[in-house]
Amino acid sequence: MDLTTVLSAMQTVVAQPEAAGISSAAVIKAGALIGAGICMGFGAIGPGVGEGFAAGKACEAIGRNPQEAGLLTRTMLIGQAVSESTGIYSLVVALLMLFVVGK
Amino acid sequence: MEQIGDRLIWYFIPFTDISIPGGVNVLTIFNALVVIGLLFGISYLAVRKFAMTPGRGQYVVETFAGMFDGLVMSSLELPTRRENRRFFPLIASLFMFLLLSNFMGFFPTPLFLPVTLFQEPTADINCTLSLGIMGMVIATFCSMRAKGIMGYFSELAGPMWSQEGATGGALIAGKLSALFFFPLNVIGEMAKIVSISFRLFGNIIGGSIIIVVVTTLVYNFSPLAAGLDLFFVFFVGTVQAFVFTMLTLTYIAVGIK
Repeated sequence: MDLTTVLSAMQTVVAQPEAAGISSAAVIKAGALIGAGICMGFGAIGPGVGEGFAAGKACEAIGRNPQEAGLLTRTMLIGQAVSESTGIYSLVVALLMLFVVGK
Repeated sequence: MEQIGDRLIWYFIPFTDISIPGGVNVLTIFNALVVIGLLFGISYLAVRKFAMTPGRGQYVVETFAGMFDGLVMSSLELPTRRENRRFFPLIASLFMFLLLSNFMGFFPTPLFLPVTLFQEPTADINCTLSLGIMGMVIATFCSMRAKGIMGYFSELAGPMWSQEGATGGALIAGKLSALFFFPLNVIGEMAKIVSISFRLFGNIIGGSIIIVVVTTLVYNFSPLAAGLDLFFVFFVGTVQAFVFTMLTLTYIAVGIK
């Protein structure tokens, strides 16, 4: 089965789900579940990279200036929690799709 | 696992026909009241007898208060100690409320009850959103009082609104730039509310859902659930309560400087 067949089958399902024997609620649920996966997967990349970068820089700073470790850790945690919020938005959107749209 | 996403919502006041518009999430209110009661109890026990040489409990309370006093002072940097002290009750009580709220999910529910009894009040967007709106209203009010209402709005109108010695075209261009900057800054203020409240909400509800899902996957193997609680309830809860408090303090500090 080549790509064109798959695409035309998908088009049939999406455009006329009733004709393909699938209820439109099932299509919506499938779309919501796939969307939740994509949303969480891509949304987790940015905060992961950013928080790791912040932690690495904090390690460097503590290595250079160990007596300020408490202040640096506190600042690092706040910065990480702030930069984590984009990931949290995607989590909220994914939860909406899982438990509100796709229910 | 089926109980994920379920909410116990009352659309009527019990035993009456009086409807509540939009419904009210009972568990949030119940748990918030439990948290408030716990805080009252702890505070009463803590301040009941103060001695010159502190005991164990008094030492903990004094350390906590001193820590937040220093935090407020180092963030706000107002000239007198008295002015800084005005914000201390808000910040300290916000932190205590959020900390205990985030820990509420740790308490188990008796098995004979049909619904979950204890859940985090912060796992409801209404709670965090109202706390965020409260913080921003206080920050805006303090900013207006520190700079004057005209000062506050001219700051919203962008950096080129009030420039020294500008005449003619430069002056008009500066005033016209407010058309661009003002909506941007207003949306920025709104986005602060959304970001601060959704961050807390997402962290807490995400943690509780992860605990439920992983505990179901391992057939309720309870030591693992306790280990997950250690991270997702106690570590994340403490960090997020601290972050919410610090961000509210930072918004106030940015507003009044």
